[in-house]
Amino acid sequence: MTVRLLVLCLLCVLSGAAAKADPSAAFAEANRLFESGDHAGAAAAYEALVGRDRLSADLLYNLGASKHRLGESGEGALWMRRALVLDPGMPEAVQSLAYLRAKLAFFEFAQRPLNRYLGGLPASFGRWSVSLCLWAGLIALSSAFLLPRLKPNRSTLIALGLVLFMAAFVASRASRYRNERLAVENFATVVKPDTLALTAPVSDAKTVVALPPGSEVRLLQASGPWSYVEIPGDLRGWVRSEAVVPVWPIPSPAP
Amino acid sequence: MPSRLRISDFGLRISLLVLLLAAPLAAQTPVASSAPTDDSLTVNVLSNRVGVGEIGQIFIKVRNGEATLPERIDVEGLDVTFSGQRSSINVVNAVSTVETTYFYRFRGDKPGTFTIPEFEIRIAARGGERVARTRPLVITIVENDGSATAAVDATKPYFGKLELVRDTFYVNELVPFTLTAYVRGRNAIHDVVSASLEHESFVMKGFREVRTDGAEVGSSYYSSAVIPSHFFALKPGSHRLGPAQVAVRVLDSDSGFGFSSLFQRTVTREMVTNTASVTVKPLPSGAPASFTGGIGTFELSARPSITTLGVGDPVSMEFEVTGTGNLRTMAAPVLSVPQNDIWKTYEANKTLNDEEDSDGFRAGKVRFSQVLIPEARVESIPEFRLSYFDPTKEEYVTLKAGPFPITMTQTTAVETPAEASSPTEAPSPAAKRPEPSFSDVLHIRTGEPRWIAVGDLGKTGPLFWIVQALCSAAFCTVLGFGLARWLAAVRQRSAVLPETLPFSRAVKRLPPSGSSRLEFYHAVARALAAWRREHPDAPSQADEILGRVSERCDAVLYSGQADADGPIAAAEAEEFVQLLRRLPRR
Repeated sequence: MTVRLLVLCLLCVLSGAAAKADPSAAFAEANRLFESGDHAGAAAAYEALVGRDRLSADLLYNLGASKHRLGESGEGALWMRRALVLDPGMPEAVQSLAYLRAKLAFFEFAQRPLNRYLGGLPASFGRWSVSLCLWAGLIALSSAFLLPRLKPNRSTLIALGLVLFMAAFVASRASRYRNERLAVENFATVVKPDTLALTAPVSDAKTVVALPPGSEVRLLQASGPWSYVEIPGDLRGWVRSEAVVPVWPIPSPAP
Repeated sequence: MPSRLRISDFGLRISLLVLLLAAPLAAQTPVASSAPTDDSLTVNVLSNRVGVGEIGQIFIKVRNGEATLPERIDVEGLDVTFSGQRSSINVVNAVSTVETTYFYRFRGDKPGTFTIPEFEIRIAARGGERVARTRPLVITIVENDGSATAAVDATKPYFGKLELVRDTFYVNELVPFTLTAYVRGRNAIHDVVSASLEHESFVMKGFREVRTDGAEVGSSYYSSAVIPSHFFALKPGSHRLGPAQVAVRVLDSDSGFGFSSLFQRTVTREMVTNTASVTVKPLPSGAPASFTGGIGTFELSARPSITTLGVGDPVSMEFEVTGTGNLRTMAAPVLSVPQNDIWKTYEANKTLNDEEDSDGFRAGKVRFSQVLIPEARVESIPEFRLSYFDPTKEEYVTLKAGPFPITMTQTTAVETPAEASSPTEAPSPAAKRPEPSFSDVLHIRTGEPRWIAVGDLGKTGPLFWIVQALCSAAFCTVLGFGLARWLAAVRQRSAVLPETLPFSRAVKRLPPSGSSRLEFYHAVARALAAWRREHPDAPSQADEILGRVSERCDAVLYSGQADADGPIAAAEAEEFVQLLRRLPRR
């Protein structure tokens, strides 16, 4: 018995080390479990991979599909949204979310075209655009005053420098708006069924609206067991914190 | 229970005034003659036939004595309570008599004949206290069902009436009625203090409007205050409604000292109305599923808040029901066919303002707002129905609204599979896009995933810093170049002074060809000045050469030539260099 246990432990350690070395093998093994109908095992295998230092949109999508198969459609929508964070155009996640939206009738924020465009920009957009505009503006202005050969174009260079400084300011504001309102870190997904948004952080408060699983909310404030959220349709309310999970970043698994 | 009664009547004040005026006359008469001579007791009732709920009055008159009376007289079926007293002093042939009248009010809630038994009264008189007994009074309470003739009403100084539009109606049907207070005389009613009509099986609307009028009752003219309202019954069956109570302030005809317009005062008169027997019928069976409690005659209009929406987008249906009848018991229209898994419905919000409520005569208006969310792709908002009971036709009537065509928007999610299904086909504006049915999520992805290091997400990569370094290098280069030029210029202007620069070095520092002519000629002038400094005793031939060169320098430097700032030609520069080199040196 002891020998068997030791062998099992050794196998686990070896397989863990192998999986750590090659996450693709563990991913393929989880896929095999899913296709064999063991959705719970597949979900557990996918979740074990998520806890590591490497991620993939395919992994997150497959975990969402597994959760859906297990009847946790709210969690399924959450993981598919996470897959879209890594691969914003992932067709499988987009289409499956459309199916879940029709099935669960959950709420989602309707974004205007400009917001959609800003939200689709990478997180480093602000750093890049602001720094490049500032450098270019500085070089243009310094060239205008310090290079005698460019003296005939001095006025053009000064105008260009000022325009670049203004562009840096606009990019800075747009980046701030994106990070505070549109960035995926601001959003959460309702994962529990029968979740209610209430008018106050107490259990017997009046109901604002019932939130179907998979509903998208914007986190405004966390107050212990309650979270104050913005709900699509210009609504606000308090929901139980365990009923909503932030889309990004993915919380570290409990030890 | 003995009572402590006080004289506070206005009539007594008048009597006291008369007594004071007569005091000098009374003072001349013997005291014995003013002593009471008769302590008689009289008991009377204003009318011994009173309607149910009406208030009757009993008078107990005592001469030359003060009586102690109970506050309440216990009679089964009657409520008899003390209500006040009034005293008057009469002086006849120099003999004064004090007469005090005590008033009792009684009211019966059931018809019948009741007897107020005799009871003892203690009378304190000048000769000492004695006990007297009243006589029994027989009171008849009759049902006042409104059939009393005008002649009977005309015998009363004031009375109230309850009048219904109809005495047979359905449960929840709105029935208008009026309470009317009549007071004998023209413009006798000042205002209405209160009005009430209560019954546990009826819901009454508050009395808020008053209409004053007048009418001939019998041969007398009565002022009237008409208070309209309406009610509806909660339970079927036969009910006796009323009597209602009405309190009005009337102008006191005894006041004003003859100057009624200046000194007239008002007194409150409480009156009760007749009763009314009504029959409440239950609603007939077979009500349709869309019956929501409305009784009357109504019309329905509806509109959706938006007509373009996507799956999951809420749309609000706005209903407006107008008509005459009971709007308070009416609920919102309902879907004619249940829409499970197609439309998610929420409880409707009802808005009914008091100003817009129907009173049974005038039409009213109620609004409903209901939120619907499509859970699947549909082409229209389905039909709604509202059924009500029309008491005139005695049948249920069903109103319909819709269906309302809508346009379902194509979400990104819907478009993606259509694009993915025909990636090789050229997009055509006229091409019909496939309509997905969305019956399940897509299968998992089994290909080789593209792994991303978690730590790299959102972090600043090395490329960013490389670009920053390149940009800063470019900026520093420009800045350094400019700084170097500036320093050189400063050094050239300040460190190299003409007095200390030797001729040989001045010649070496001549700017090359192509540089500014001004700069070049400045350098030539500096070199010539250095040679002169070093050769103070120069031969005349050299002086001549120097003079010619200096003239050319001055011509360029100080004559304002247009091309002075242009580049110097190589030949011109070479000419001056050769001239300067040919100069003899020590």
